[in-house]
Amino acid sequence: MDDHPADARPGAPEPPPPAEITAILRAAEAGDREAVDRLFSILYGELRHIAHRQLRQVPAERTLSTTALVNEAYLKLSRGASWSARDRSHFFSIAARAMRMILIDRARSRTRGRRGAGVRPLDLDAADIPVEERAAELVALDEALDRLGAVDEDLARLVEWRFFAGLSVDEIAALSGRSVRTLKRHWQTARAFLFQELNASGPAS
Amino acid sequence: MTGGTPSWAAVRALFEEIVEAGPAERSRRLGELDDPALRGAVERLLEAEARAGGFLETPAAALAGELLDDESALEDATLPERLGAYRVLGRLGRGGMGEVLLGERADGLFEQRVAIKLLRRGMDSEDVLRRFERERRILARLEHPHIARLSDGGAAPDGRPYFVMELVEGKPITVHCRERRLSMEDRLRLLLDCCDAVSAAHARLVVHRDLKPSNVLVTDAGQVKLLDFGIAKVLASEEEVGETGVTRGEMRLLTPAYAAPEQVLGEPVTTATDVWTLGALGYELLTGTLPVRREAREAAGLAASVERETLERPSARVARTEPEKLPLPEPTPRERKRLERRLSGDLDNILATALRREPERRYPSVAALAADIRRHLSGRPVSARADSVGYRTSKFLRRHRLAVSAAALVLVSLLAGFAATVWQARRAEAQARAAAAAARRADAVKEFLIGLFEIADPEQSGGSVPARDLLDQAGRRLRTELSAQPDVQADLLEAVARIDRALGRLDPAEDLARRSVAIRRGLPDAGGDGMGRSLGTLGAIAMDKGRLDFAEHQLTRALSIVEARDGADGLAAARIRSDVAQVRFWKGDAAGAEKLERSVYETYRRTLGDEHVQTATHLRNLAVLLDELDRVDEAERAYRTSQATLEKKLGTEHPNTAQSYVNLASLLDIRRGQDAEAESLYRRALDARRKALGPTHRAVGQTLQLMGLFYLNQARYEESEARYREALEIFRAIDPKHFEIGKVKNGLALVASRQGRYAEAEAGLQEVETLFREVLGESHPFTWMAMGNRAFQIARQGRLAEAEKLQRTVLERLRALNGAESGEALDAESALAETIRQIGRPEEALPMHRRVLEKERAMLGKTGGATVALGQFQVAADLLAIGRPEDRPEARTLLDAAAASLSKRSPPHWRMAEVVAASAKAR
Repeated sequence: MDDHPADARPGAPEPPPPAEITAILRAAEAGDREAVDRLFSILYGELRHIAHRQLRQVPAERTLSTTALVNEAYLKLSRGASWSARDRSHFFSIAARAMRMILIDRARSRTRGRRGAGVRPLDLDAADIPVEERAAELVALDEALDRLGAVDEDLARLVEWRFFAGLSVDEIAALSGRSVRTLKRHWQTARAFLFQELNASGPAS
Repeated sequence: MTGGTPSWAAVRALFEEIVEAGPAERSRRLGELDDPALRGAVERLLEAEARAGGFLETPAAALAGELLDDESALEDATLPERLGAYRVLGRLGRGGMGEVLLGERADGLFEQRVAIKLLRRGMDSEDVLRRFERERRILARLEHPHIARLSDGGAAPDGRPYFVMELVEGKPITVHCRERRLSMEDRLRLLLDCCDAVSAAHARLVVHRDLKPSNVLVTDAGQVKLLDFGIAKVLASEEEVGETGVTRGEMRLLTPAYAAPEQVLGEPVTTATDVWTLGALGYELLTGTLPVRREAREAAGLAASVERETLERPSARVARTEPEKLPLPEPTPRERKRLERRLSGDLDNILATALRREPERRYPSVAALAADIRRHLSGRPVSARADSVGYRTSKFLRRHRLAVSAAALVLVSLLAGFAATVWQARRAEAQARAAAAAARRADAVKEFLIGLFEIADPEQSGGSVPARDLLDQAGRRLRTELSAQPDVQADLLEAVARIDRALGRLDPAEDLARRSVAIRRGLPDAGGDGMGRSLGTLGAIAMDKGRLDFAEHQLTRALSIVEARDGADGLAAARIRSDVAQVRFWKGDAAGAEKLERSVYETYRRTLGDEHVQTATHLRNLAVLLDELDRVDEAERAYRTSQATLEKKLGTEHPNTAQSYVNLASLLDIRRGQDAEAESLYRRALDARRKALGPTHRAVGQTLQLMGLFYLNQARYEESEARYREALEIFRAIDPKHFEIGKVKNGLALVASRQGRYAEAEAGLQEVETLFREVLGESHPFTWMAMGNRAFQIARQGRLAEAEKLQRTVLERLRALNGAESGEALDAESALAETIRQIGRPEEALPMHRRVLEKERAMLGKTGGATVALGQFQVAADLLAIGRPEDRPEARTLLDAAAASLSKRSPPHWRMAEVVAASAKAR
């Protein structure tokens, strides 16, 4: 009966209970597009919420751990539900996709008017480069990743898991049931593809 | 599909097939293709792969914080118009700490443009403001031609602090060098300018802490300017810095690639930190690449990668880097070769010295680094030297310490170590058992784990700082520090807990392990590998403390986690199972332990093969259990097989091989009565350990102690005492409070006691008891077993009432700690009953001794040997003391059995004379 719940947060409605999440997840696995979208939007909201909470708690934090975000969302949404390996794998796929979209959406809004400036290969280690420029690189990567997804969905998903969600190869191996060795080889392929794409679309160095 | 666009599937398949192949194999495979389009596509992909470097290896997490921080987006819109006396003209950039604005004096007094560093929201806490005020005053006095001067500072209307700094129009030093294609000499001169500036700051006790190319600008005129002493701290007030919490948060503000190891690990920051970062800057200027690659972005991953890091010599780095990426006049292999030669030698050594992992091993000051660079530039010999082989070896061990100590070898050799002396204990009476029980806990795990600890810290092995002090300090620091990085904290707590455990410091070990578990419970990955490790360690510690139910519970939990993550038949699960086997063994279930350990051995055999050291080590554990189960032939075969493998793989002088000698010696000595071969094996073990570990290593002390026990039971008291005294010196030098000292003194007391010097034995055991009480505490059985030993000496001196009182206490405590049916409690009960008989109440003693004998028979069966024989003797002695004629036949039978058992060995058991005397009385 409380009109103003204490933890009301604009833009972050309380996610459905785990049982409902499980139902949505299963429907999504069965190919229900609507369920996929619904789960995606729940995860999108939840991940953003967790990220912002973390940033508020530790304002000096620059390097949010996306892995921790995704894992926290997993723990929260799956609480008490018993999910099969397939469920978990599916959940993390969608979460990784959501993480990608969150980052890319923000990157786009940070790069307004900066596009077309020539895109260098993404090197997030280069601390000298201002965030706007790196954001532009991220947006370019996103587009290249779309092109990869068009020819090879499998590899594109791997990039989402590893690069955007920050999952380790071991974690991905556990989720996907593939060997670490296979995944490393796939990763090499995906990376080479994207590197080639990005270098083809921008002026050389 | 010839011609046209090749299918991605075909490109990918071929790429993945040959990407790992050598160049010859690659061109052969590509040459076979009759589809030029496919070939071209794969070649392009291969080329991209070769050039991709670290592309995408850093997860997007590196940007997430900045991208998602809506508040910083909000700051975009609301630049303050004025800050103090300055008008804000625009924004120059944004960094982790906030943004940098362009300003000019608003009062028109000077036509001077300045850079204003406005800290971001969230950095305006009281702490930051207080420290900011203090630093502002210090930094404002820091004047040097190569340091961008801090001129002013204050708080913005919204409370955010700002610094006003000299505006430097320049480029990052790396960009400057690249664009101007500067020579190596010019680059080194710029680096020297940086060194001079930092050195000047150090003279004022200011450490930069965050040197990186974006903070080191070079103007068009070629002048170096260091920016941003923004997070510099005043060295003199290090303690205060530690308390403010900002040092802990510092990690997040740093750029991982340019952070010195101690910054990543949350260790104290000193001027040596700047030596490292200047080294890193030099490395980048000279090779075009960063010295170390730090891929992880979160603290735990970074700390782990720092622990693994090794520095690649700059010349070696250059040799394997594509010419395009190197600072060469022309990107050709020939120029690369020239650069490689230019770097090898002095510059390799200089950078390696600046970039050493341990701050104390770097140049002692930035000035010393600069002096070496100057010497190099003028062609004089430099002071930097390559690491010695010995140091590299120890460094290798240090790096792999955690991995190695986690290995089954270490944990499992504990099993081998304790069981080596089981039989000696059984053969001897209660006092000897105390010594042996202590020895069996400590033996192998210490020689290995602690050996690593000592070798890894050569400075410490000289004994200048006792290990316990280091560990106390480590424990204290870990309780409070690193709380911002709880997973690292939990890892380190667990690691130190292991070392404490290996040193026999079980109380601190348990405390640290519990903290580690508690911390992990709060982490997102609470059910992960880390938790499995921490629980496993806690369980192992509890096992050492003799709290077997608790230990088994923790180990079972650890096992279920590891099995879920790693599979039931993985090595990690096998390792824990081996600990569980040990607990079962301690609980008296040797058969169950044998089954379990056999499955562990099979897992190792299946996974690593017969010829693997760890397989052999587990086979040896299995042999211990077979021996325990009276399957002596099988045990001896297993010991010998395992020993042969270890000799082959590790050589005859390896500590692990030496452990095999000790184990086989024990079997030959006790089971076979082959004293000569046993003695020769003990000697080999001693020689091996002395050679491998040095004459003062504690494993040498432990071997000496086992030999002391061997000679004691041989009634060769002089040799026994000599070995014990040697052992005593070794342990005393390591740590005057070392727990092993108690065990050695216990042995010396026994030597005295056997020779009738009971008062001396009593005094010695009083020292043992005091030591155990201090280092092990009252909840450790050894403390009470030592008291029991002392009581026995008191009884022998005829102070029976005093002895009885002590023995009652001992019995009560050991029953509470180990259970009424435990060997320790039964021994204590027997000793008490003996005193009661001597006091003159044999009727009271008899049911106690009968009970003990019955339990020991049930527990030990015919393997009970001397223990059961002594039980028989005690019952018979009670019967004779009561003196009813009808009991005599029973007494005689018991004494005959006891005598037969005790005289089997040569020399006979030391209480044989009493048995003979009783027999005479019985007839």
